[in-house]
This record gives sequence, structure tokens and C-alpha cells, in this order.
Amino acid sequence: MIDKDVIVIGAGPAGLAAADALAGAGLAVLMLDEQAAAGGQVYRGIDSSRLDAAGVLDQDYWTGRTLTRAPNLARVEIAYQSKVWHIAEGNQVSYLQAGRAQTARGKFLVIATGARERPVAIPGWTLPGVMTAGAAQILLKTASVTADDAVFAGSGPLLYLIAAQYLAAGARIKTILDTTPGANYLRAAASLLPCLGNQQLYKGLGMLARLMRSEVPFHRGVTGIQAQGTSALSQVSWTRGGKRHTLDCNALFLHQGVVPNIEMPLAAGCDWVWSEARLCWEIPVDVHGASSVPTVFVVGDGARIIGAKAAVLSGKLAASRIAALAGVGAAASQGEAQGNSLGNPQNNAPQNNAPQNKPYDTPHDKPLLRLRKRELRMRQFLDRLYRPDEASILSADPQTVVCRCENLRIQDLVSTVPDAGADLNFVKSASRCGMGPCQGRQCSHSTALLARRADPAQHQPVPLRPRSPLAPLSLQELASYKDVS
Amino acid sequence: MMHLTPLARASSTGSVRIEVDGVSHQVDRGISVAAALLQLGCETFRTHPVSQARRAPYCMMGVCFECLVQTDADGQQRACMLTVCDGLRVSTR
Amino acid sequence: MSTTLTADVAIVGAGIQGCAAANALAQRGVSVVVLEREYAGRHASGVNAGGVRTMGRHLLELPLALASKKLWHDIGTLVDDDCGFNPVGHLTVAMGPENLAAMQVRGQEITRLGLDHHETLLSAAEVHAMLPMLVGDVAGGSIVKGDGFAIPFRTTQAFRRKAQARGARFLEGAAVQDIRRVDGVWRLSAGDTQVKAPMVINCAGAWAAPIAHMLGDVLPIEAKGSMQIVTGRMPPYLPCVVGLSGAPLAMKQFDNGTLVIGGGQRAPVDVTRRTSSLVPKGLGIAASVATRFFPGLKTASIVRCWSGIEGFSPDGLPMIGFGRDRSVIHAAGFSAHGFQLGPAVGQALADLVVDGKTALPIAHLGPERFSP
Repeated sequence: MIDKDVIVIGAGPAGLAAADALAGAGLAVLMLDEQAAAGGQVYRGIDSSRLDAAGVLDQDYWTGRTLTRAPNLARVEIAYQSKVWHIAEGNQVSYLQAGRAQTARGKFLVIATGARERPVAIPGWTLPGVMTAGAAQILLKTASVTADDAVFAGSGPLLYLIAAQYLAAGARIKTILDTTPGANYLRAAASLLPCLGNQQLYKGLGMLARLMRSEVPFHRGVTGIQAQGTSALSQVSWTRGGKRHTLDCNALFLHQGVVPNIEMPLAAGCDWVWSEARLCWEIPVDVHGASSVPTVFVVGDGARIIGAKAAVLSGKLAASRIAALAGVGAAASQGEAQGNSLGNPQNNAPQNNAPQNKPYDTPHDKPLLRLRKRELRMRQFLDRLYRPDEASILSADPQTVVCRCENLRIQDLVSTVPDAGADLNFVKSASRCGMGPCQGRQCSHSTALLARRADPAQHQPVPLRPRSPLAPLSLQELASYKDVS
Repeated sequence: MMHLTPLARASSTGSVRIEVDGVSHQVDRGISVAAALLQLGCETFRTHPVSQARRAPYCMMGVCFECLVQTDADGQQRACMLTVCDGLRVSTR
Repeated sequence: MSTTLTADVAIVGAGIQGCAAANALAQRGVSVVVLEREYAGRHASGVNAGGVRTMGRHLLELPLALASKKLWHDIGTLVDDDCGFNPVGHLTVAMGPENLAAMQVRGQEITRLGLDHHETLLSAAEVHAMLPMLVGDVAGGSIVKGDGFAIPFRTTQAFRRKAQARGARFLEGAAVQDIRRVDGVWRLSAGDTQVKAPMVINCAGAWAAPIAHMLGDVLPIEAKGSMQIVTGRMPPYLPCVVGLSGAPLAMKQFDNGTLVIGGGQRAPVDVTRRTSSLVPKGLGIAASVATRFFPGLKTASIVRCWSGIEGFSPDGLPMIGFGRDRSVIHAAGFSAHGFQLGPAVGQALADLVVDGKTALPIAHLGPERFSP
């Protein structure tokens, strides 16, 4: 059993920022990541990139190197290729490091497992050749390749980003289909004003302008996207202006935003909430990332989608609070001087179970909180502008596959929904939806929408209870735990 | 079939030799098996156990489990989470 | 707004026992209300390993299991659903000569009791012929034809649906908070709902002890968990259900190709929060026994591990029968082997309600054996 002050799960921007700040405060930190290197998804492949001179990825990406090369990380024990498969009470984490069974225990747990693409359950989405915008990004960042004559379809900043990166790479894009509902522009307008000082807004607008000025056909107000083909994708069709359009296509990249990976926080016992505004589950945390479980912090996109910049801030804020609770670092001494409201800073845990809504009022945190507020204002605008049209993320066609692992279609699930009371665990037991290897990661958001369609009064669909192993293990990998205490 | 083109301006990285369904291939060092297979024009990674439909990668980040391939030593693995290395042998179904 | 329901019988708990009882009672024209805190099959009855076996049962339980076996073989007629029942047979491998000797003695006992049941002895060669992928020295084994597996949640829900079709009423999301007897009638309160019935059957599984207490009885039931491992879909591997006597392992492969591995590794449970937690070391032990004797499973992909919450009895045998008062019947403490017994238990409970007695062999399983 490895004992540490803090275990950080996830070496993306939030995890890296937290680990660096925690180590800087003098705490013993273990950081775990399933990948071979740090960066998470947004800075994927940053330290082994072949694209430095290629002029394809913009400065926002390369700033990730200040995170992966942060000075205090040298004091962090970082375990790459580590699959966290179980979290037990007392912040005990079981993980396989390059196939070896390990267990570690932390006084605090920082879960920074980020987000994944929202599944886009449209007809034909399971055909070979249909992938996510994130997949296109990963292929670009890690393998330095682009797909020829790609069609990008959906809504949200990441869709435009990858398309812009393709343009910069000189790759030919066949078409961009934008499903952003027209009504969203008006709804988002009210949130625009507070963002006018934010450089990201102009970067985004500039990117969109470049796309629309390019030769790439850019169709807005698109609905009813379908992927077609027999054994693989060969066509994409859509509705626009009341008419149906079809295009030959063998690479379709879908995107409808990203959703938090809540599985590890749930496994750690954290409360959850369904957000109607963002159509996904989130982990309620305070401004420092403290969850409903004392000693468990959830930072970055893994609690709620906030973007890379805010993720870094959240990592630093969590580190600040943890350092104070552990009685170390600048924030702690400030807290002592002010007679902090958490009581004795020598305690290793907050004084109550509920997230502290009052900001931890130290000079150290103040600038971070201010920047965080600014990022959240931007995020509110983006959330409203790019809130997906429900039919674009779950087709009305009953033949649409919902559970990819078990090949269950909408029509296979509707009979289980009325009895379920919006509890996805019931739907799972009754239909096997969520029993496959993805453990519901590709189907649970769609199933939640199905439950809400059947009964709009169901405001809080119950997510699947997490089941270990949280990452796939072989039987012999599991067997290696027989001697671990 | 999806066709992938390498970026002209990307720096080179060397290559390794892997075997896919018994056929030997030279692929870029440091990339995932999924990326390598897609670059080799592999359209189908597996046959779905329920529908028998052909499936290929969707997410490329380990959460969709569509890219499962059979390896020699370690059974079924997500190809997108596996980095190519000299002598690696995988088979698709 | 409060609701009051009246029935001949109130059943607490919609697991397999409660649903089977409701079905059998409704079939005999008895009006039934089942109160279930969550939903039918939410706990042990819905998440067990699915074993439908008579093999290896305690001799006091075996006659009841044999009666249930007959019902399983006609389950489609019983509940309009085949429940995924597949009688592939159950083979217990004797790891060492002492295990085989025990099987021989048991065989003689079964014959002596005159039971129509055969745990046919197998030589080591015969075991290896049936399980060519088994590695290691074994002494032999025994096999029961007609044993097999079914799908637990589906089965429990099937009994529930059939009971409902016959007129039984199910109140789900109805946690029983209070039970009291007024003028010879039991009143069960669950939130805003009250159920009045002259008889109550306690089928509350891991929570049967507190329910018993409300009914004026003491049942020595301890809640425990038993861990299971399930793989992804695999090509056909196991031809029958396999157990190892002398090593903690039980395995079966369902029709969809997934393999469930159990063997009794214990897990801590929290009856108040109704949760269970896993113990990596215990999972490791189960996995290592499986891979040691079935090395072909080493690279099998584990998709899910879990543990149910079950009620265990001090002697490992269920408590089925009247409480101190004949207006109360208990059916609990099934100690992780109640699933197969469900169909017969349901009928026995209906007999007790309607006739005051049953011909089904529950005589030695009464809860009174724990009364001082």
C-alpha cells in the first residue's frame, strides 16, 4: 500500500495544475494517468508531438507545455499507463501500472478525469467511418494525420476547432454541417455582454469567420443527420431549409459537446446532479472543487464542463484548499491569521460534509477566483449557444442504436422505460443496456433522454451505479490482487 | 473507406514493424494501434457479437470499446489505448 | 393524500420469494399486496449468480430444491417467460481424494433418503473429457443433469408480471416503516400508504430481521455480500456449470457468451444505505483460482464486478414457516442459495396461507428452530 498525502487521478490540465501546486506546497503527491504521457485530451501528445513546426495547432495548445513541464512536477510521483479500476472508502485506489497490481491511499483524492464526447445517437452512427470530432483531433495530434474529404457535423467550439486545424493543415474538408439551433443565438445573446472582454470570444469568432470564408461548404440550421452505408459509411444525409440533402462521404466526424466523466467521482461516493441546461450529469462541487465527500475533490471538466483554462484554475484552487486543510503552504498560514471558518487547519478534513459555498477568502485564492468567474461567464455563453437540439443527439427514429455494446435500439428500450422511473439501473437490468464493456459511457446520456421523453416530469434521471473495474482488466490482472493487502 | 493522409509538415519519427492478421506492416513509431490500422486502410476492427455488423473506432480515446482487437499475449485490447511496438501481433475479427 | 389498501395477505419484499408467493397466492384467488421499497429484483434476487442447482445442497434443503427443479423445468408455463433457464448440467470437480470420498458418502446418504436425485460420480478421466480446458490434478467429480442457470432479474420480474396479471398488487418505492396489529388485522405503513391484511409474509431478504421485529418475531439474519465477476462476451467455453469442491470457485457461461465467476468471496454491506463494497483481494482470490485451473481464461476481459446484499442464517439454511403467531409467515435467510428455491417456496407459502399447511418439504426449515 502506497500512502500519500494526495492522490491525483488524471494528468490533464486540472490534474497537472493541482499536482504541481500541491507538490509546491510540500505535500506528497501521487498522480495517475492511463495514458503514456501527461496532457489529458486537450493537450494530448503534447510532449511527443511532431507538429511543432507544422503551424497546425495554435498557441492555446502549446501553452499546455507550461503545465506538463511545471517545475514542481519533478516532486510528484507520476505513474503513467496506470489504469485506476477501483476506488474504495478511505481514498484507497487500486490501479494497474503497466500490468502490475498496485494500491495507494491518499488523505485526499483529487479526481481530474475530464470529459468525453457526448454520444450522438443518430441513424448509422455505428458504421465504420463515423467518428467523433475528438477522434479527428486525436488522430491529428498523436498520429499527425487527417482524413481526406471529411465531413464535420454537429455543434460546438470543438467542431469548429478541428475544422480550423484541418484548414491550417491544408486538408480538404468536404462539408461542415452545423446543427446549432437558430433559437440558441437569441437565448445566448443575454450572456454575451459579460464576455466581451474575453479574448477567447474573439479567437472563436475569428476561427468561425475563417471557416466561413474558406471554400468549405458551411451549412447552418441542419437537422436530421443520418449516416448511411451497408458495411461502412458511404453517404451522409441531412435536412436543411425543408429539403433533404445527401452527400457521398466516407469520413464523418460528429460533435455535440462533451460531458463530464462522472464515473470515478460516483465510485468515490460523490453526489451527482442532472443539469437540464447542459443535458448531462455533473458533480456538485464548491469553488475549490470540494465534493459532497470530505477529502474528495473533483476538478476540471470531470465535475462540470468548464474548459481548459478554468480547469487549470480549478486544479490550483483545489490545491490551495487541500494545502490549507493539511496545514501547509501559504494559504494555510493566511487561514490561520484570519481565523479561518473551517476551524483548526491542522485537521485533514473539512468540518462538515456539504460543499463550502463561501469562497476561501485568502489573497492567494482571490486572483484565481476572479479568473475563474471570468471563464465561467464565457462558459455560460457557450453553454447556451451550443446547447444541443435533442433530436440531434437522440434521433426520433426507433431503429437508432442507443447501446452500441449490446446493439440495443430505441425500440428495444422503450418498453423498459415506463417502469423505470428514470432510474437507468432498472433499464440496465431489464434490457442489458449499459452491461457491455463501455459500462454505459456511450449510452447512458441517450437513455436518460429516452426516460425524459417518456415522462417529462422526470427531472433527475438516475445515472448508472459505477461498477468496478472502472477500466477493463483481464482475469489474470485481477488475479494479481490476491496477495495485495 | 476512410483514407488518412499524413501531414506534410510533421517531423518524422521512425517506424516499427507490426503484424496485422498475419501480414507484416511498417508503421509510424509512437502511434496507437488504432491509428496504425486506420492508416493501413483497415475498415473493420471487429464483428459485433450481437448484430454481426462490422465495427471500427468511434472515439479514439478508450471509452467506446469499438476498436477491440485480439493481441497475442494480452487477449482483447482497445487498439486506441495500445501503442505500436516492434513485433506486436494483432488480429481483427 | 393517504391511501389505504386491504388484502388477504400483505407481502413485504418483491424478491423472488415475494413475487413467487404473490403469484401462487393470486393463482389461488387470494388478494395480495406486495410492498417493495425499491423495485422487484433490485437486490439479491436480481443480482445473484443465476445458479439453478440441486447439486450439493444441504440434505434438509434438498427435497425442497428437487420440488423446485420440477417447476423450473416448466417455468415457461408457470410465468409465461423462459427466464433464460438453461439446464446445461452442474459439474462439481473433486480436487482431492477427500473431496471425492465425501461425494461418495453423500451419494449414499441421498440413496438412503430415497430421494429421486443423482449426483453421478465421475472419474478424473471423465472430468477431463468433459472439461478439456481444466488444468491440474483432480480426483474426479460429480454431475447433476437438469441443473443449470437462469437470468435472475428477468426471472423475478417474470414472477412479478404474472402475479400482477393474476390480480396481485405491487407497491414499489414503498418502504415499510411501521407494522402493527389492530383488532386482529396487520397494518403496514409505507409513506402515505397503509395496507391492512390479516396475514403478512416476510420476504424482505437482507432486511428480514427488522421486518420480523415489527411483526413480533426474532429472526437471526445477518446481511452479507458475495462477490461476482462477469466477463465480456466470449466464444463458447464452459459446457456446463462448474464448481470446485476444495477450492472457492463457481462458474457458468450464459447463452450470450458472458461468463460469471463466483465462489463465495465475501463483501461488506451497508444495510442502511443499501450498498455493498468490493474487496480487491477477494476478487483476486476468485480470479486466481479460476485462472489456475482454467488458464484459458487468463486473458478474459472483466467487464463488471459486484456484490448483492443477502440475508444469511446461522446454520446456512433458510427460515420458512409461521412465526410465533399464525398470522405471520417468514421466508428469509436463504444464505445466497435461495434463487433456485423460489418457485417452490412461493407455492409452499401459498399453501400455508390457504390450507394452514403444505405437503412441500419445509418441515425442518421453520424459523422456530431458532427460538429459545
